[in-house]
Amino acid sequence: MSRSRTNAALERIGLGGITGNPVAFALVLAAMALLLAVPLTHNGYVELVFRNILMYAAMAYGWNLIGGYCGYVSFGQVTFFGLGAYCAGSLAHGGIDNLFAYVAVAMLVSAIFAIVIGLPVLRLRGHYFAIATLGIALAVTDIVANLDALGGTGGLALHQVDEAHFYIYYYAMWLVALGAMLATYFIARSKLGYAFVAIRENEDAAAVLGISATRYKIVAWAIGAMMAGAAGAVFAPANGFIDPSITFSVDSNVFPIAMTILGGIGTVAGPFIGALLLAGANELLQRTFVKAHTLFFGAMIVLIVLLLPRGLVWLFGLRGGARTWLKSLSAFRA
Amino acid sequence: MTPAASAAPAHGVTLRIENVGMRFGGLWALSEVSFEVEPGSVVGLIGPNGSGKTTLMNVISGVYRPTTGAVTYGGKVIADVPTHQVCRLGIARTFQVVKPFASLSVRENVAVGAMYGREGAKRSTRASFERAQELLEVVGLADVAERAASDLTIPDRKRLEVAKALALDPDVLLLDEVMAGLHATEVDEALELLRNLNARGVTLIVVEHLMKAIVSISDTIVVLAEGKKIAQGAPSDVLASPAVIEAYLGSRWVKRQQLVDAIEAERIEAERRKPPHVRPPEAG
Repeated sequence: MSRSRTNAALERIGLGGITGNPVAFALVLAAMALLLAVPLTHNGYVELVFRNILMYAAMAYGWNLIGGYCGYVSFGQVTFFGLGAYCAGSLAHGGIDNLFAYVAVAMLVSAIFAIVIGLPVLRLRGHYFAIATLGIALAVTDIVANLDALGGTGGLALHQVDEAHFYIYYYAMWLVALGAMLATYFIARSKLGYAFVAIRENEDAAAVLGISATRYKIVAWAIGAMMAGAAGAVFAPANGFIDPSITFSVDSNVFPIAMTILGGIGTVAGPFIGALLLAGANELLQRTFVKAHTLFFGAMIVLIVLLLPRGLVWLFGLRGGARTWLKSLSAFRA
Repeated sequence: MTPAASAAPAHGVTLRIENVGMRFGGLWALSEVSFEVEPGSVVGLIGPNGSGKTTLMNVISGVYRPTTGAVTYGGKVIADVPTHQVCRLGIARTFQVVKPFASLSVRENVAVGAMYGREGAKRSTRASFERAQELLEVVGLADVAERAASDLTIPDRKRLEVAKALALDPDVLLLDEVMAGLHATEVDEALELLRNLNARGVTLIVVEHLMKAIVSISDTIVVLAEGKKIAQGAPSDVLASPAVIEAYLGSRWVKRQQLVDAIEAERIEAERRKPPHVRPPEAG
């Protein structure tokens, strides 16, 4: 009893309310401002690495709304990313070459697909929901791979701007990530955010207070889908080529989840911090340890989960230093 | 808080519990329970452990669909209304086993009710927080508004439950054992709070084990035993009823009471027949 109470109180101090720790959020905004400078000083490889970080951040924010705020772990986030990419691909094949159109259509299609799928699936709770979303992700991948109109397993090639203008894709992805981050911030502070958290904490108690759980879960799921869809729509032309194995990859499905959890689940700063750390570390490890990088990558994830179970964001709110930290750790052990 | 100067007009309409039966597997937790709750009244619901009080609260608040009969409010069958819309009818409840949102602060817990309850659509986020603060002052939790809900003591969690229910702006408030675990002065405070709510026109249905408290606040008491309604009426009448004594204390107690009554009657009769007592002269 006292242990779980201490635990919750500490969590609250560390996470700083419904939007998370304000210092962490301010630092993340500052980091976003710094990232504006990347294409000015670097192009090619470094720009690509940071564009990927921004892409994963946008997907992580999408997952964070349903997985972090509503407490519904989804394994289907990549579906919306892939749908967004294929929206861009289809439009490109239809002769439309406009990044804004790609993003707008991708967000619309993702939202509609999320609502249609969400109506039955979001009535499920807990593990059943997680399994259903995984099933949907696999099914959509197979459907796309067998649709000749979408290029089947061969994929689609997209027209790209010439290399001197590649920064356009970088800034487009930056805007998508910023949009996802700010949307999360304002949604969390609004009535919607409180409905999401109430559903996460106790769905039955939330219903008694007038919250239609199914409805608000679908809202969270659809907004999250739009974030992933927008990231996919920028990724497709930036990559110049899409096929089912790239757009619906397991990495793209699992990375955003791992990033959100390591950064700080259910916070505004967490997904970005996680994306920066994981995607950045993955890149560095791959270059340093060509063969054994996944070993170190895995060890890093395990260490963070063990030592900072509520994510890196927690560090920002840890008053009282090592003692508070140790006490809080024991609160997480059964 | 200041006591209301005069009783406000009662809100809402009559709540009708009509022939309600509730079966769990082979057990009828409730059978053929009927009574009405007039707007502005205070109905106390009592009965021994396991008599079906909480089950009835769950039926009235729409958590359970009754096996037979129905609870209607303003012509609406509550079982047909989705749980999240029951509060829009003007019915709110507390839970015997409290259900705070653990990671939210005390104020945020109440604000969620103010946001999504009956008047929620008209309230901005800020107005909801202001309303929450008002209600925390009403229930005496203003000092701990910023604390995590999971940090509260059990009596404070009960207060939080009441504040959350009040945030829904109800006409009818169902209170399931909100005084359990409170000490004497806290019970008095709680009763004062309930009287004030009732004076503002809120109808109360109160489940409580504390007999003194329930007798002092209720207009009408409904007694359940083994899922059946065995008595209904004014508190003093209901508590004197042999059926109620039997339900609480067993049939032996009723027999003993009858024996005691008979002996007492005989004694009085004998007393009357005795010649007037002659007092002995005082000593000294």
